[in-house]
Amino acid sequence: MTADELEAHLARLRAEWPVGSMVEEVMARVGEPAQRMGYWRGKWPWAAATLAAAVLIALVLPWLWPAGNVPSLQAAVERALDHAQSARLVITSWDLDGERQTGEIWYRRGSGFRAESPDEVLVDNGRFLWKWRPGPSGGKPVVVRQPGGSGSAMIARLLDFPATREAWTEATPKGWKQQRAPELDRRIDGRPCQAYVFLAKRPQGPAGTTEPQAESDARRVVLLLDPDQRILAIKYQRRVDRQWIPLRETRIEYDIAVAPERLEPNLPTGAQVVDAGAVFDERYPLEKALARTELGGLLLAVHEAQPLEGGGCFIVSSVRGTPAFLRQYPPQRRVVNLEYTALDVASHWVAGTWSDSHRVELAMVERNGVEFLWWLLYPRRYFRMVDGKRVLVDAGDETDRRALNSETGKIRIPLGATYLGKRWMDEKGVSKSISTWIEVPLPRKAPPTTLASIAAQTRSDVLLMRPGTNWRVYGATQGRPGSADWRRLRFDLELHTHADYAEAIRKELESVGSMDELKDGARPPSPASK
Amino acid sequence: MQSDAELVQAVRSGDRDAYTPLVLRYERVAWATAWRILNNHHAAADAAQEAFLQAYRRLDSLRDPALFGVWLLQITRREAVRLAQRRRRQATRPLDEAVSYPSRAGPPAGSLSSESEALLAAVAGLPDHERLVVTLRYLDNQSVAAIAAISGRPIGTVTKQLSRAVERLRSMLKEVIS
Repeated sequence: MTADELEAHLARLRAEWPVGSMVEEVMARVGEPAQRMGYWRGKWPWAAATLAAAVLIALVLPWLWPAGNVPSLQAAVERALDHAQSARLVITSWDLDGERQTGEIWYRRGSGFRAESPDEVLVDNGRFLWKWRPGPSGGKPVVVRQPGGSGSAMIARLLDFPATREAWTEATPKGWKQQRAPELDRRIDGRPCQAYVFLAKRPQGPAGTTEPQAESDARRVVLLLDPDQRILAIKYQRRVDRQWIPLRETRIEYDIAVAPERLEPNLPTGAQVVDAGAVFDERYPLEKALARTELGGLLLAVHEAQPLEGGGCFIVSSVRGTPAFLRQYPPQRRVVNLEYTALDVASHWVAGTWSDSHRVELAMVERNGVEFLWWLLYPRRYFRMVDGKRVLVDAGDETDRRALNSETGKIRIPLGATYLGKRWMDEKGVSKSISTWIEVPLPRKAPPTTLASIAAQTRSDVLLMRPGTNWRVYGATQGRPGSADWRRLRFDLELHTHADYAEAIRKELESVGSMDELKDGARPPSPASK
Repeated sequence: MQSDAELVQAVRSGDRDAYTPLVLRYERVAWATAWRILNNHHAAADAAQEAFLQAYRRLDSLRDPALFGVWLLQITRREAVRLAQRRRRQATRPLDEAVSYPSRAGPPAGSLSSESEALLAAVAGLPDHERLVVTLRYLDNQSVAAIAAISGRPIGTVTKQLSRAVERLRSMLKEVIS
């Protein structure tokens, strides 16, 4: 890389800088007195009296949200739930096509809660929390068990909005302003409610400059509070064509009847219950792999292979060193960050575009030298543009797609790995790799899986397995594949949902599929070119 | 352009607003320093903000006001480590990571391309002095002369530091960005 190229990359980083200015927040706080433990030394009687007064005020004014000391939204919801005997929350959201989806949470104080969405079910009885993915899973359902907790606090966190996290955790959200909005007042369940709005302010650009805000970027949160100052509705909206359209709405009903059986775990039939701390080892155990092979001291395994609706195959595979290999070449430690040190053994090498298929990585999780990869083997579909329309071109030789032929009841999967560590590099710095094919039986009579299903499975798996690991989830590509500005984007699990991730994968497949265009009489490559 | 030393003296004399240009000047490098340790946008912003507050409150203890930038980064690093330890102690992950409800939210404002993220990691991994000059020069678009004025150093020294930093970055990124 030349110095000019480096400067260009730095300019791009400057343009993409991921956080806004913190000047306002810092300058708003520099006037505050320091609140350190040292400050209280020798003053504890006064501190205790102040604390007691605060508790008293909190008891007398349990749900006072907009007036006085403003707690965060999260704290306000938590407090309201703590003071209710029970509650039902209905969360409605709209996907990219405007289709409505609904989730529900049932809560009873002292007993726990049950949260159900199309993607996930959580049941907490105070002692344990169980979570699993509802619906067909393409295999044995997995239920993860972990210690339970405070139901009200957990529910408040579950209500988090992807793009307005500050509104939940900050009394005065960063970059947002709060205002009373009488024009949005309305009755809910017969109770008159007052509306308050958190409105996104114009974002701050570099060095405090204000950049014009695109209308499509405008967001707001509308809260409706009943006469007891309890939050009854939370609406998250986006401005489009001078109208606020809903992205997500939450309705909260307090003190309603919740049947005891709603809070029973009722785990899915035949579920595999895994403790949260053991998920990494037990989610895809090596001894239960569909197929595995040993090559160059590495163990390559395929744990899952599901035909994909419309062609292709979804694969979960792993790579690790054999015991003998690890004894001969003890893996080196590499500090990834303060929270994680990787053990360098080997990493999957499957991604890329071949004559018969695109191989698209979706996610990776690595711990102690064992790496799992979620990926897609997606057939190439050569086409020409004729009069602005795609016309598929017969590749001529079906043997080229043998790897993806499900009629034989088996599928051939290409697997490869690159050794990690300097000892495996040649004088040019190129690391040694291995590759092979592995044949895997397809699940019998199982219908092809869908993008929505593999997105949910991949995202759920990573969410479950990632504590204490090095992990990556990839989303949609940016730019045209193969072009200078092409790059894959990291997917932010916290800020997106299963549905968002499915959409990102679809975009990525669309993007890599654009490479299948044949121009000016070109013929599809023959198998020999592989 | 006022130097760091002048601004620090002004704040010490009671001019609270003189702290604003210091925050503007160093917010990116402070954030990058914290991000390298925490690997999380929000947590890095929290740590950097806390570092600015700590620095403000302890400004009287800074012996050489011209070294405000490096001193701030030391505080930032300490705050980030403290926050990382606190996050590690929170053994159970928040449930909001495990449950989700579909939304129409687009890509997060904080998205970085993989190349930019690799570059950010490399910048964050530079020694303090080099990270300061690279951030001021390339991420805040300050001229070399301005950086020299800010830091109270000769232009030649800043130029040398920049050259060293650029070479180091090129070497660090050789295999990552091609």
